[in-house]
Amino acid sequence: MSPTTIFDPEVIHTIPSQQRLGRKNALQQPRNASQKILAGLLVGSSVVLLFGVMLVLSEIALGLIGLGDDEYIKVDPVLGITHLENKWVDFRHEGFSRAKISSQGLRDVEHQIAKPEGVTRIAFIGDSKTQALQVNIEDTFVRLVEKELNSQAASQKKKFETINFGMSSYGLVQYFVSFLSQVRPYSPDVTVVVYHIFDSTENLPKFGTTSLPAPTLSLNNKDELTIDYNFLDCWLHTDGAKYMIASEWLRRNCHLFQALSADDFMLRSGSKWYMNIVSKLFAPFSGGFQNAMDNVPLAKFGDYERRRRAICEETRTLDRQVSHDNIWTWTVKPRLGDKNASGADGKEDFKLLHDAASADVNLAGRVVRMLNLACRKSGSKLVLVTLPAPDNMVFYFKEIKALKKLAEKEGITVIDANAQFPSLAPMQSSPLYYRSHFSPAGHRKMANIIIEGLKPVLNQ
Amino acid sequence: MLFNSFEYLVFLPVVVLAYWLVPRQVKPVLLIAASYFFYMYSFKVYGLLLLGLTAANYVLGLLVSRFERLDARRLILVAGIALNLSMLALFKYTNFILDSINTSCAWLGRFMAFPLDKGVGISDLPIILPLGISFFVFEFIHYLVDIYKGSKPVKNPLRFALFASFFPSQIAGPIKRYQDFDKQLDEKPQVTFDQFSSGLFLIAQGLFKKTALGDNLAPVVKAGFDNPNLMGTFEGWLCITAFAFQIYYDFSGYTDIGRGSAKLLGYSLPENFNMPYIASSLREFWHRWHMSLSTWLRDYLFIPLGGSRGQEAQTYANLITTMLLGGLWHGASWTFVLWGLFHGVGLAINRAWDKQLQNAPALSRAVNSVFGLALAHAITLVTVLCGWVLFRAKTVPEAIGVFKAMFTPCVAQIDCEVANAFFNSPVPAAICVYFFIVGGAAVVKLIERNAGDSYDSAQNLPGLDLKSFANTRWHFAIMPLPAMAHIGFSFFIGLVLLAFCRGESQPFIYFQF
Repeated sequence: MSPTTIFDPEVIHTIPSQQRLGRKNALQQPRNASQKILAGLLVGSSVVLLFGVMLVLSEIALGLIGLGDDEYIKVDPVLGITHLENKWVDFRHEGFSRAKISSQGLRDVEHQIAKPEGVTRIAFIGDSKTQALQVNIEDTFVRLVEKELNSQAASQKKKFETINFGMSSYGLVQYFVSFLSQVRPYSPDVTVVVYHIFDSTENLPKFGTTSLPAPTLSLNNKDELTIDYNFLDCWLHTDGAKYMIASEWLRRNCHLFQALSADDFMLRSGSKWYMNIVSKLFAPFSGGFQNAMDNVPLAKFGDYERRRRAICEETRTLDRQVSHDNIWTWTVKPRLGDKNASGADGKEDFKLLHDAASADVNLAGRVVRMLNLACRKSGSKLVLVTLPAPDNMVFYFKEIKALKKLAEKEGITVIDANAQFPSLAPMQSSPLYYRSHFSPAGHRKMANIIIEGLKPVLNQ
Repeated sequence: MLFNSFEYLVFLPVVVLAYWLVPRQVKPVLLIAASYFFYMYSFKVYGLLLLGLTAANYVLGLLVSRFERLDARRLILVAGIALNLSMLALFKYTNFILDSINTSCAWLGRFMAFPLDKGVGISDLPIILPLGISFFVFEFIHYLVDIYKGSKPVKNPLRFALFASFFPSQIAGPIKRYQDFDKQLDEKPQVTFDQFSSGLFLIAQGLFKKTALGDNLAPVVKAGFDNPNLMGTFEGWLCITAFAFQIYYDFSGYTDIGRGSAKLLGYSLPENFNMPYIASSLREFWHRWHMSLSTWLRDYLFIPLGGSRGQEAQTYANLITTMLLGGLWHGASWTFVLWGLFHGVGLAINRAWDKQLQNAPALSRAVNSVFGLALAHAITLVTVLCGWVLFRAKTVPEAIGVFKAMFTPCVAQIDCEVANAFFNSPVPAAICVYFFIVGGAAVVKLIERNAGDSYDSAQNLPGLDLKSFANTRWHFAIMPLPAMAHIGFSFFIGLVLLAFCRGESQPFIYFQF
């Protein structure tokens, strides 16, 4: 019997068992060293080949079934971060959605930059609640507003188009810079800023901050406001930012890499063992990583310095033309018996928080005035939508009151969604939310509130 | 420590490697230490509970076997069972009893215009349920009862401690029989390459079931049970079917990981599931679902109560009592009691029906026809699904709400998220991948069966026995193909799982029992 026939299952069945036993014993005779090495190499290379095949197979499988598209952020030297354009995103951290970021880098359907004839365009600027990764694009309040407006206006032959410029982690400064750099070229007739808690606290970097993935404000000693890119520049030179720039191709195209990055992020915050083990494992390689990151060029962003200068100059110009009056004109008293974190009387701590909040809100008032002026100059009407918050957000409710007062003076429409949503205690669940973002039911409610609020604006 | 955590991913290989490197005499000690580390990772103090109960049951086992007089043996047995059950009752049922007293007084107060219409004001005690207590208490009771019946006790305290604490089955079963486990300690510790690779594959499969399937079904179930009044008929059935598979993938996934981990150490744990949803009767369902629990209930509750030895009415009562207590074992809530009662009554009806069939050959023929069998499967599935409503609901009104949705023809309200949650989830994709994995494993088994001795790779770890490779040009074809396929599939599952575990990680459902 030839050596090859032992590998033929058909032949094996016909070999008498004694013969098979004899062959097995023959197979188990000791071999010489070179044969052992060869066999070992074959085993090793087979294992490597097997793992390689499985890597490719799993990458294909994830692509086919539409999973592992976790990444959606890229570094932007003007706004801090923006979307990866033309990228499918599969989001399941809260709620679930799978949708493609448009070619213009918006979490929306494709839009032409030039406004079509006869169309009323409404731009929505906001943070993650507007971006709404938790639901599919068609279920976001931005798209629902467009559908419903077109449905209501069908008989009048009016056409509406909404565009979603929402991006997670954005604050008021980014809304403003986003309007100047991204939104204005689309010539919106109405600009809706979806305002939320902490949007005003991110205007100025807090004490101890050295870098931020966002532009901030700065006030000089003449009380002149402009956009400050120093903190963003510091962040752009951090290893984290450079890693994001260097790995952009993998984050766009490799499902396994994206899944691994997302798992790494989750485990770093959730597992002490992971942090300890990974940091020790990679400590020997950190020097090489550092060197590699030092070589990442920022020149790939093109002439961003010119764009920044234009924005800073326009900001200064607008600031000179608007009122600097404070909009926060109350003193909020602490509740009796409030304690601080160490259990002592909380009056002093409350005063510090109060003073910080009022300063932030007064600055926010200036930015809103500048935004309003910029909108009017480009033929757009500014609308503010104040999002709902849990019922212990005392300062936020005062902020809404302040913004409403400002809006009355400046002719800005405010849609107070907070007043129209059911009040919620902190951590209380509701079918309108997943965890902290709207569920599809919440988006429908928001859409209805915004449509009602926009009617007077659209009829003007 | 959770099986689906990074910590376990580090813990298991370290323990397995250490286990195969240490001398034979040290292996049990290493496993006991690892098991206690595993158990005490979440709550250190409960390691003392496990240690205390282990020591107590070890001594009681020796005492039971020591005495010749039946009444003395019985007394010690009763004391042992009382000790174990009292620990279970203390940690698991104290707050349930207090809540029930409170609620009953409040109800009586309103009904009879009593001064206690707001309850007796008892608040819950701050008791945290020790993980796995329901499982290891049952193992201890089985041990004492079997010794009372004549089995030999475990004399070596280390062997008994290992039986009690063995980490692959410590927290959520399967409920082991000490005779089967102890026998394995007598054998020479060894594992073949095939067993090792199939253990790895079992772990990977279990993780996939739990993470990709079970966890991704959880939002569907939550959407339904949180707002049952929003569901329509379709959503009601979709929700409870999702739960049926969530609990199956969750629990069987956990069991697979436990059995796979045990295999890596050369141990064999009993199977716990055998495709339960293809059962054609409730009786068959309980032969396929949580098999280690149903056999325990049969041997240590149903049979001691009288089993089926007495009259039919008594048998039905025994069935109902057994299942009612089995329901209570699952959780300290009236919905679990109702679930147990539901299955008890169902089994009694099943038994009565079987008796009827014995006396009616024509009916029996009809039942065994294709149509009859299909109907039997459908009725069983619907019955099981209805039972799961009681199991999952936190309160009776919640269960009623889900039943209303299931059995009242209606359309869902616009805010109902059940269908949206299912069709937008990765579950359909996970099912496709699962079929691929299961199909691949079946092909591997086919090759294994047909390949015969040429693929025999019975070598002992550590290291491969390179002598088995033929001295021909076709060296690579002698590779242990089934084992390599298992490893390849395990690697594939591990990679794909990186993308599946994006959402919220759900705790294992059976951890709460």
